[in-house]
This record gives sequence, C-alpha cells and structure tokens, in this order.
Amino acid sequence: MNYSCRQVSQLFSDSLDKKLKTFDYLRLRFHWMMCRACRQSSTDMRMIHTVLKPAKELILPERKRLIILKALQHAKEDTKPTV
Amino acid sequence: MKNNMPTQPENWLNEHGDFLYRYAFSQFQDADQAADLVQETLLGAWRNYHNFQGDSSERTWLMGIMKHKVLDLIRKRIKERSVFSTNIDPLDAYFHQNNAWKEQPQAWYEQPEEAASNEDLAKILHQCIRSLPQVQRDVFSLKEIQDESTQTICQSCDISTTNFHVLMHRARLALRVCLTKHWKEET
Repeated sequence: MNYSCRQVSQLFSDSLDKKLKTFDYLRLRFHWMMCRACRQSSTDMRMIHTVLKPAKELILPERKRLIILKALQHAKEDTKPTV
Repeated sequence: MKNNMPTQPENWLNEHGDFLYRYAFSQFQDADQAADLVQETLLGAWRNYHNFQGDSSERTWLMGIMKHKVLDLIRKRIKERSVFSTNIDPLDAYFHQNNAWKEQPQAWYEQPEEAASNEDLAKILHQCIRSLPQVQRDVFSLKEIQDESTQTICQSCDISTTNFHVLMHRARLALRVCLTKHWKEET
C-alpha cells in the first residue's frame, strides 16, 4: 500500500497536471500522514504551480521592433501575398 | 473582410508585436530569441497570407503561427538532446537507492500563502526556471506558463505522456531546491 518518497514525489507532480486515480490519491494521503518531508515537498511544488503567471507588462524592445519592421518591408517589396 | 482591405504587415507589428513578443519571451525568457520568433512569425504570416481564412481574428491567426514555431523549435531541441537515452537518472540527486529523500525538504517560509504572493519569490522562480536544463525548461514553461495542454505538448514535441510527466517532476524538484537556496540568500 505504501509508496516510497520517490514515487510519491512523482505522483504528486503528476497530480498537478492530471487527475489522479482515486487509489493513487489515497496512497498519496496515506504516505503524507507519515512523512513530513513529502508533505513539505508537495506544498512547495504546489506553490511553484500557483506563483507562475505570464508577465503582462512586457513589450517588444524598440531596437528589435525596427529590425523586424525592416525585414517586413523588405519582404513586402520582394513579394506580394496571394489574396 | 480581408479581400477589400489592403494588407500591411507593418500593422501586424504595431498591433500584435508586443502580444507575440510576450508569449515568446515568457516561454524562452530570452529577448533575442523572442524577437527573432516575432520576426519569423510575421514573415511567415506574410508569405502565407493566402491561407488566412478570415474567420478568426488576425491576432488569433498570428498566435497560431507563433505557437507552431515555438513547438517546432522545442521538438527539434528534444530530438537533439535525446534526454531520455541516458542511464543516469537525475532523480538520484534527490533520492537514495532505497527511494527515501537524501536531503529532507524543510519549510523555508513562515506561511506558504504569504511567500506565494511575494514578488521577490516570483522573480527568483523565473531565474530558477532559466537555470533548468533546456528541454525541462521548454516543456515546463509550455505547461505552466503558456498553459498549453498536455496532449498538445506531447503530440507537438513528439514525447510520450510518461516522459512528459517525468520531465515535469524533474523540473519541479530542481525548482524547489533552487528556490529554497536563493530565498534563504535573499531574506
């Protein structure tokens, strides 16, 4: 019934990306009851999962914008798109 | 609508450049790479404008091209690195042969909720993501930052779901250790 810490660590990481089978979930709970280290590791992994959000304020640097603009103008002169 | 409106790729850059750049940057955390991908996306869009159906918005269409380019790049990297062919299991750094922890994870903050809302923590976390091995970083960012589905990642990057979960687990363990270490240095 009891999983090792290595297996529980993998299982908990899996649970952040997919729904666990009930049996696996129970094994996880059972292991946590006895293992403070795995409880801590899981709390941390969940925190990492929660903290990550895409940066909203980021903008394309002006220097890069100009380079892309030139490339686009160049491409426009070379070809006309098929509309 | 596209038939009676002249196409100006410069307008795409003005209207959607930042949006596309943000996506690429949050994936690769690299300004040059992100800008290159914006350029490739817009040039690719210009060359393939005849494929634009006009039933989605231009932004959605451009974003589709960008995502395709990002996944393409990651698939190539995974192929080049052959991350799963080695006999060395990176998890051995964290676990003994009997599968118990080598170093017992300890609490490194007072309250997890407070730490999670701390801006410094997010900053450290992004630095830690940058220090992950490339393929782990690519797959982890696709899932956790871009919110891409597991199915899309596995299909587009040509990896099994088992390998996907292994990579995610490795990345999370490495990030935990990195966060713990740098958080202590900062506070």
